[in-house]
Amino acid sequence: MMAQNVLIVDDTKNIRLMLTKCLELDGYQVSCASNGREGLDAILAGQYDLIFLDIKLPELSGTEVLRRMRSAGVQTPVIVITAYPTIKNAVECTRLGVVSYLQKPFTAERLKNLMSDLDLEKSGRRPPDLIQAAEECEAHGDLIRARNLLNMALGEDPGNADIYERLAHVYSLLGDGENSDKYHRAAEVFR
Amino acid sequence: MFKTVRSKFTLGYLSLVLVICFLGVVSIYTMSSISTTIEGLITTNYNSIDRLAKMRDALWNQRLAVEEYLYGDSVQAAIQFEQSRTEFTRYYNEEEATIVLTNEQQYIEEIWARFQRYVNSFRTLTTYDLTDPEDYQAALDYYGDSMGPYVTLLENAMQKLHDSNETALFERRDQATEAARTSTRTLCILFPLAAVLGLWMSNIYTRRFLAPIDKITKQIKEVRQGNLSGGELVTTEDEFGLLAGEFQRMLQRLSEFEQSTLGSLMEARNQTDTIVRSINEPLLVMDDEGTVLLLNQAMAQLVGAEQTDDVRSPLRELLPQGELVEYLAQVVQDPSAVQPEKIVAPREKDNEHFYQVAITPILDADGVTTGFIVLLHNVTELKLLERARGDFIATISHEFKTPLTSIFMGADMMRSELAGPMNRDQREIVETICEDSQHLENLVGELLELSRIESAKTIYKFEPCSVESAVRVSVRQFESIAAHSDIALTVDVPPDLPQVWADFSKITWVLNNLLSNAMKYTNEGGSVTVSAQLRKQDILVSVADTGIGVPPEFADQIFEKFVQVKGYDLEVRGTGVGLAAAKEIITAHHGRIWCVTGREEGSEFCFTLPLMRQEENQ
Repeated sequence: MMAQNVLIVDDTKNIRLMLTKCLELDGYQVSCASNGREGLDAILAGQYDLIFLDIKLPELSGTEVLRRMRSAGVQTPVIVITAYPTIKNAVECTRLGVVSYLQKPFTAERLKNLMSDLDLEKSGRRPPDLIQAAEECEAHGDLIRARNLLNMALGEDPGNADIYERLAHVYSLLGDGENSDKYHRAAEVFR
Repeated sequence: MFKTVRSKFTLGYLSLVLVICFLGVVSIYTMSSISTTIEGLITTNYNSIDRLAKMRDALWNQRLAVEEYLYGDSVQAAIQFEQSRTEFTRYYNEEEATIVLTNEQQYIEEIWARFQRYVNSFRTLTTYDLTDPEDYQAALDYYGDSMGPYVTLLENAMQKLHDSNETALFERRDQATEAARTSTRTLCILFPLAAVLGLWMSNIYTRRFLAPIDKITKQIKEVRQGNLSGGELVTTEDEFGLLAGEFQRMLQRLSEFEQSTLGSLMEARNQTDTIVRSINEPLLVMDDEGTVLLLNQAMAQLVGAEQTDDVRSPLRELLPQGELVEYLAQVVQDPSAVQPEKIVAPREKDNEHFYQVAITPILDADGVTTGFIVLLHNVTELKLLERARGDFIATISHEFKTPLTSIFMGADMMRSELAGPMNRDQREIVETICEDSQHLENLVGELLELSRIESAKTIYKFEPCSVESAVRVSVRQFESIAAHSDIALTVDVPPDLPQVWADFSKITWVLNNLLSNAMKYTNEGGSVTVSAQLRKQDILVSVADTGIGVPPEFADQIFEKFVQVKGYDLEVRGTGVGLAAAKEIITAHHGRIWCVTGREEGSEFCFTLPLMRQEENQ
């Protein structure tokens, strides 16, 4: 299998370094950009399989980079990294199709799990594994990914009240009361 | 003389009694005069007539005796004549004794003279010898010629006396009738007169009695309207006069008292005013209905009021829109809503000025709240400092995240030996770095949560919540960890608990925090129990574990921020920040959170959530 190309856009040198080391050790081909503009140029110029994008960037914010690359038609999967998670930003990023919202601080182990989850998503997984992965994501504050994983699990097992209840909880943590209620009621139905 | 009310009443009654007596005397007199007339009528005239009749009978018997004498038994006749003569004489003597009038005297003397002549004529008759026919004839002639006219004369005289008596009888009868008529007329006139007189007198006396009462009543009315100098004085010397005098003295004392209290009140008020004015901090006095009575210059400047004295305007008219007026209005509604260290921004959309509000209720003698003294203390600087501190903590915490990530990743990679094998010492070092990085991450997370809660106090999303589902959501997150660490995680929550008025996600966060602590400090094979129970006014939620426990002397301190447990060889529970945040949250829900002391094993944290009140239910 050919090594995958990964782009890291982060203004912190040590984060770039550590991420690069970690991904390279896992066999990825890694490129780096240290600000938003550089990052956007690299994205538009090169072919990447996955992009790590910091939200707080000089020159051009991560959200802006995301918006511009999507409007330029680049559909590469993006993992957003942030130290300042806000619901508003998370919702916006979700709308722009990020696969995960990775909150700082995170460990190499968590990163590895995320990467393998992404690989597994492509090959399909059993609901209990997805639920456990979602639980971990939730514990690490990656509610978007937790939601994605739970939705995936629901696709495999649509009659599972537990998944609905967990989704309701994730939505309530996301501040989306409406969806939370909806899934909560669904959970009551299937219980 | 008639000074007392009692004697006045007596006088009134006495006059009525006198009228009645007068009427009685008049009646008795008239009645007695009538009865005298009638008695005279009967005793004098009627008896005279009766006697005259009897005398006539006796005379008749004498005449019969004379005839008997002439034509029958002479001896027997003479005896009978004598008897009748005695009878006549007896009646005559009786009659003579009753005679009063002169003409009657004359008649009676005439009767007596004629009767004597008649008797004598009979004596003469007896001188004839009846056995001798000539004498007999002469006797007969004498009888016919002399005695006959004597009897007629005597009868005429008696008839005169009879007539005189009869006339007198009728006269007296007429007199009696007249007297009765006169007295009837007199009484007919006198009774109405007496009735009118009585009515008039009673009217006069009643008016005279009641006059002082009317005066006193009028005076009391005036006093009631505030005129303490009183009206017209009652000067009578009776009981009413005494009463009026006492009343007057009472009025005087009242007016003296009023003047003296007014004086000291004015003085006290001036003192209060001066005190209020000399205070530099904004101060306000309001009554129990939220009407502002007084405010000092500083407060006037703060709220933009012009007048400071005798304001008397409602809170909401005087104070600008904002937290302060809302808080004061709430306290007026419910004095128990006073919070000891409440800090408010007096104006809406002004985040530059902050005041600490001290509200002291004014109580009357019965302990009822009659108003409030509101004193504001400018804490803007403190508040800004605190905010700067909060901002600083939040910023630093965020800034920690990025280097922490590098450390995490670096240490992680080394531990997994991807970059090459390590010896035992190196591994231990890296393990320590990993562990403390984890600790640092927890600290950063909790610091951020705390500053988030502190900076967003009002952003609670209250709604009816089920405690049971909050516990379920929270416990689920720890199920796998519990299974992994071989800790028995049990839930004891009755399914029929009523709902509470709460922010679901915040309550879940508190439960998560308590559970995470419990799991962290409970060894393998231990147990963690989450339970809830309904109490009178709230629901009690408890998280108990069989872990290392909390030293009793730290049971309170543990909820303070950044508490350091010195001299204890025990690991401090959490970072001391999570529990502080939990306390903030529970307090905002009007609940209570505490650490149960006196347990033999492990620790137990409890918190309460008040039940929904009736108005929130509707």
